[in-house]
Amino acid sequence: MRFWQKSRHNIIELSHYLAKPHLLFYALPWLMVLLILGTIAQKDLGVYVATEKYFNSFITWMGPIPTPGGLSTIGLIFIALTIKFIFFSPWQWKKSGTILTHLGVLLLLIGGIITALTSKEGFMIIPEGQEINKISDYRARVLNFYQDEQIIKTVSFRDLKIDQVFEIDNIKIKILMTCDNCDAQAPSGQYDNLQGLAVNMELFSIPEEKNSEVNFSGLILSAETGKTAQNGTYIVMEDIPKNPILKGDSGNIEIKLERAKTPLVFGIHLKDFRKIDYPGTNKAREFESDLLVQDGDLEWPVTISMNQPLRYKGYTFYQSSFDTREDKEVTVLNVVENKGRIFPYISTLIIFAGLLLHSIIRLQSYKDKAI
Amino acid sequence: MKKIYFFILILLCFMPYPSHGSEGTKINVGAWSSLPILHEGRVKPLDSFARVTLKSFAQTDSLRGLSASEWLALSVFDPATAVYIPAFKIRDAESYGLSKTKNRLYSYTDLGKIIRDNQDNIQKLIQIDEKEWASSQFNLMSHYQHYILYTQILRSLTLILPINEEDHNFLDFKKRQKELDQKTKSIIKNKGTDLEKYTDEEKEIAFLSYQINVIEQSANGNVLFRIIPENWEQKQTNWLSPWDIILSGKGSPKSAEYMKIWQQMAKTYHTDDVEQWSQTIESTKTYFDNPKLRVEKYYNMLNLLHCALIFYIFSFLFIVFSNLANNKKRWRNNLEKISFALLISGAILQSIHIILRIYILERPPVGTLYESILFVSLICVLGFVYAAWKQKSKIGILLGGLSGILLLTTAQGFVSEDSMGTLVAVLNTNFWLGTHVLCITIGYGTCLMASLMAHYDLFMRWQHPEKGEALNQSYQNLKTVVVLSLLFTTVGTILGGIWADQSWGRFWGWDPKENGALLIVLWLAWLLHSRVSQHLTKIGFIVGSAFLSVVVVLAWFGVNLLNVGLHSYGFISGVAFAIASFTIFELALIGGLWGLENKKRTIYEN
Repeated sequence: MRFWQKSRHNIIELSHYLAKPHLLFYALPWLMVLLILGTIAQKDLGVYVATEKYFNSFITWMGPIPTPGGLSTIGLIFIALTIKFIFFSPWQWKKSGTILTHLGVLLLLIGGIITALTSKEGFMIIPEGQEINKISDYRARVLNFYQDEQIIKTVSFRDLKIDQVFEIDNIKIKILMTCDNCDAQAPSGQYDNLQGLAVNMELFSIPEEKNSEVNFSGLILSAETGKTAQNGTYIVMEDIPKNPILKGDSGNIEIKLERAKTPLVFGIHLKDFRKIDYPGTNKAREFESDLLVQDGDLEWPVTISMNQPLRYKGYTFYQSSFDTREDKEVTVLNVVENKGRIFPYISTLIIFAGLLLHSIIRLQSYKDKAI
Repeated sequence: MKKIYFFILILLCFMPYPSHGSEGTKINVGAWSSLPILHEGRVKPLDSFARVTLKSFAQTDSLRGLSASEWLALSVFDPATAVYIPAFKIRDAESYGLSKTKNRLYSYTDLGKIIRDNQDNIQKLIQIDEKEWASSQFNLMSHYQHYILYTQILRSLTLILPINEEDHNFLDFKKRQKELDQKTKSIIKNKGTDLEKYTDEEKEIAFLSYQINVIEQSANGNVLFRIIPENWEQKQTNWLSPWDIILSGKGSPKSAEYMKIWQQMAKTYHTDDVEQWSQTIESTKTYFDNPKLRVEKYYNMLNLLHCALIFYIFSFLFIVFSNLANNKKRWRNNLEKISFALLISGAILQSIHIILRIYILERPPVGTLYESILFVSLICVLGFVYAAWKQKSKIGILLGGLSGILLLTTAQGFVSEDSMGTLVAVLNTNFWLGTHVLCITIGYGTCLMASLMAHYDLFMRWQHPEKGEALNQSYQNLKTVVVLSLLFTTVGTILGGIWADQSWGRFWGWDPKENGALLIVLWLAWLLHSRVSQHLTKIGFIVGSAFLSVVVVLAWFGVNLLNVGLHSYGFISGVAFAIASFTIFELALIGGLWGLENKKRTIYEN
């Protein structure tokens, strides 16, 4: 009984402490330190790696020393603010501005948590005149085995291990080497019985790019089939159209290294892409894509441009980039699914109202004192 | 008060306005310089084109005895004279064998000599990546670019300029070009290429044929002087240069009529016929009568920002003098009134300057780093004007003048040759410029106000620790401004997140620019909460507020040095040293004031 009483007492004491602004005196400077270090680190590490290290982590290693990462620091502030808001808010008119502001910040942080847990981001590359109904992942790659243009097996590239063996349609495949970011050189003689691309090149690993989405992944594998002529060492690289095709018991198996894809229940067709320049220059004034959304029997036209995305069925499609391939214009759309996107909109209004109220009340009391 | 405004009126009379009287010609190019030209994606008056171009050549927008428009008129209508006008700043002229001149300005002919002597070097440098050029090589290529650009300008109207004493021009002879070419061929066939054997008439034919071909060839690719719309009915249309029209055949009957007017201009410019010139310019009004172009010309001419800066300087000086006249109350009061009136006048001029930019560019006045400095400066000045008026305090006048001077001087370092350039696609949205950017720049302004107030507060606490009530009032003012700063920077930062959500699909991406804005918000939140928790004393709060200047400078300019993230349109280079120097200066100044205040307080309390 005494233990529970003591625990209860300790919890109340801790709540009291957390509810005071004392914690912020230490937490905010630390967050600022992380913010400065994480921002500067982006120059060398790239935005993704620096963000993961300093902001999306519970622990940030400063050399050999573990320190609180962005997640733990913000998490602590969130807990303290929640306790303060629920249990220790002085519900007086004088403090209404502060209370409203705290509520807005809380909602903002809740939105951040929901976004961090649920949001998915990818992209679609759509050539003019074509329809795409899959979202490609920026970073995750998969090793796909195709038979008659249908995927019969998928393995995450990240999960592949050296000497791992697969058996597909009586073809024995063994992983010999993988590289997240590859370069090629002339064959060193390390591998026997070279086939396909491997006849002319061998892959080796190079440091990863700052932005991991531009890494060029690949692997070396060996294949054993019933037909000795196609046994040997193969190279598989992403975005290279010459993939190994092996004859299995029930047909040809094509091995492809691709970006992981999420299927959509509707399709996006690109009718036309336009880059509109300022007159007499090559400087873009606007990028626009004329799309046709096709969902079941329904289809309707939509034009998206910078700052004018398309939102449909929880997904948002943004004009991200463009390219020209084989004399055809190609639009690149950034696709995001974010269940927390409404929170910043609400919290902005609340924080604005809160701080404005606080300023007005402050000015008013200041005036009263002066009188 | 009337006397004060009379004094300001006198001051205005002495402002340096550019003259429109040119040397050697009676032609007044005033109205001509309002005619439109498409340059860098924007239709602007010829005056703006002239200023931007001359600034890139001579690093000034007027030459001795010639305004930019007069220089441009001379260049396009009388290129033979223009090539001898010193209009190119060449700081390393001696290294090319040119003799040193007082203002380092050289003519096109001098520039041509440099280009000819270094032709081989230039060809080699063209093949090399720009990043590998040494500073001298960079200068050489810059001279080369100026040479190419000015050559285009000189040749802009060669198709309508008179090429003989009978006032015939290229277009007149173009109709006979085939016939002249055939005649020349037949002369060469009969008499060879030795001119001595030709009759006078044959010489004239051969020379004319040669001249026409040379003019035509040299004008190939001459697309800079885009003064004629491709489609007269559309607002967003491409514009063509006179040569473009002739060589590409994209003309229309209306374009031909308009070209005739320019032909008439060229003729009257050469004959110095003032009356005819005015009538010709008047006739252009049936083609273009855009008040925006005239407003832009006057905007250029008036240079209100320059006037505002002078007003701020005088306002600051007068308020400092008023402090020195402590024993003469009447003098002190008058000086304070004059100083306040000057500050208000400066703010009005700067406001008009910004409003004119909004009208001309049809967007909020915060699209570029330069514009944001102008806007922040106005916010600071207006904030201090309000404080000075509301509290009848001269501190507001002093800090208002000082903030105006400091920020407008800083803005000069960020102004490009064309301060009214077009924006990148993602920024081309008036809604977000008018909400997020406006809000965050107001936040920068109030933060800088708070910082200046904190500096002054520290100074006063060191100098006059006995003035308890005044110091308390000053502290309360500071706290209010800090709360306002938190309001604007927080809402501005979140609005930025919402814009990012609209444009790029994510609310927050830890982009350096976003982090910079967040840094200010966290700093302000830390100051206010630490004061509530009593971790910071009053002095600690004031010192922390003084450092807002450093935090704002790092967030505003510092993050742009990283060249990382999606805010690529804000990248700058070459200011790292200035930012580091400013930070060290502020550390020393605030630290010094704090130390002195602490020492004085200890003595005073004992």
